[in-house]
Amino acid sequence: MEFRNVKLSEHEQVKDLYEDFYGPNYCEVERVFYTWLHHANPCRSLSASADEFTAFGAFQEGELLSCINYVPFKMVVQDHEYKSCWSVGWRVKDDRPGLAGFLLKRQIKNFDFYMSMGATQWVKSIYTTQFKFSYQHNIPRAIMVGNAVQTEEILRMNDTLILDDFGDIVQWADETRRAAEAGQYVFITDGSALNPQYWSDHRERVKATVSKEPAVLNWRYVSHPLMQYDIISTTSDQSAGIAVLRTEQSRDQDFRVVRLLEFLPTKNNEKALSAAVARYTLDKSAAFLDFFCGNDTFIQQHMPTPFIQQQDHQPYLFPRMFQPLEWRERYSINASFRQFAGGEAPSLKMNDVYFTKGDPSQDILLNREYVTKLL
Amino acid sequence: MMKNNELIDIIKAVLCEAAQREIDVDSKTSLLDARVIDSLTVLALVSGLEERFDIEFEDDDLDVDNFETIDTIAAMLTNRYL
Repeated sequence: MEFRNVKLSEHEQVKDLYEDFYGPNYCEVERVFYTWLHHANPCRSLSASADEFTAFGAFQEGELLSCINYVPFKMVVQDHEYKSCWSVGWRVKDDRPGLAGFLLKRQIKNFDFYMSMGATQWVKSIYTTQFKFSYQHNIPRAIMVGNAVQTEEILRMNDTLILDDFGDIVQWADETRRAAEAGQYVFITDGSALNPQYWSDHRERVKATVSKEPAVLNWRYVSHPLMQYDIISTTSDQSAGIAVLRTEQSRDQDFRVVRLLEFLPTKNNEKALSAAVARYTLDKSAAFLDFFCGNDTFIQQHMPTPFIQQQDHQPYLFPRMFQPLEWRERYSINASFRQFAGGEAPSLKMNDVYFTKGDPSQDILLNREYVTKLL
Repeated sequence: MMKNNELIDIIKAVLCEAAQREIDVDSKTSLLDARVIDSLTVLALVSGLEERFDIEFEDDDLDVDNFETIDTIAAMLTNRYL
């Protein structure tokens, strides 16, 4: 048996392997998306050559039997960069149970940090029992309320909600409106023209971060083949830093939410960028905005009002998913994390790391009906 | 040197512990074909054997061929680690 990265010429085998399970026309293995995610990634060369995808496979006589799709990235800790990866999905042929275990065991130690989001109970049990990953059931989240009436309507749909006083929601919407009055934003459409100041300030602000350097953001958000994201700043010179957002329209209900994927203000411009985000949220007529970030200290220290902190909005049980609207706890936005780097690498905990729901590739189930970019 | 039947008994015990259930297979039965092990059990078996024998498997040994049957596991352990 041969264990190696999948070659570009073997894409059809990956497609067949995954579509066997997920059904035909599965977005995530379509060539355009797969090539973007597993080849165009500026960090690909950390673990794959120019003729390979970032997909680790087990082959027998040239036949792909099992595969781990992964997205390499640089974990930046102070001035050091560590070879890291997000796992984004395994498959194994039905008649080869157990093979994925060998594949994972071989692949995992090629990286200093290994992370995953959205693990099933099964994957979680493998990570935590066999590899001693730390696991967070729900990534911390900041909220911003845009429309109090709509937000209250949404929250009231949850039968398990005990609260009946929505005074906070009204107050939070007022705070958003006040911030937005002072806020302004421009769209940054040229991903190659990102002002890198946000990146140097961001590295000083956090103990560790998934790389958010301009080339990565340009790839991740501007060149995404299927989803439309907006990068905004307060002015065209981006002196206040940048935020990345998208708007999500509920398919079942008449409301929309803004999903904030990155919040990267420059030093002392947290408030100005928050005001820009508030303005954007109101302009999009969103009921509310949310932002999932693994580093709760970042949210507490660098996301001022009208962002609402986890401990304040927690009792209202804001839904995490909207397609369909979903309240059940088992639909968590979970993350798994393991450090393999020894030596001089500082010991990290998962909540030391700035990562967001925008990592590594998807912040939404990538069903075709949710594609927002015109093809 | 450990006797082969002792080694096989130990591997069976580690396998049962990895699978968290009683597994009654002879030493020549294909563990994969008999659906005795899945990915989680494979990993638990590997780490259980590493712990039991105080060894660390080389990457090249982490292959389905070596873990095909209890006999092949015993042969690999004897030839490479014990």
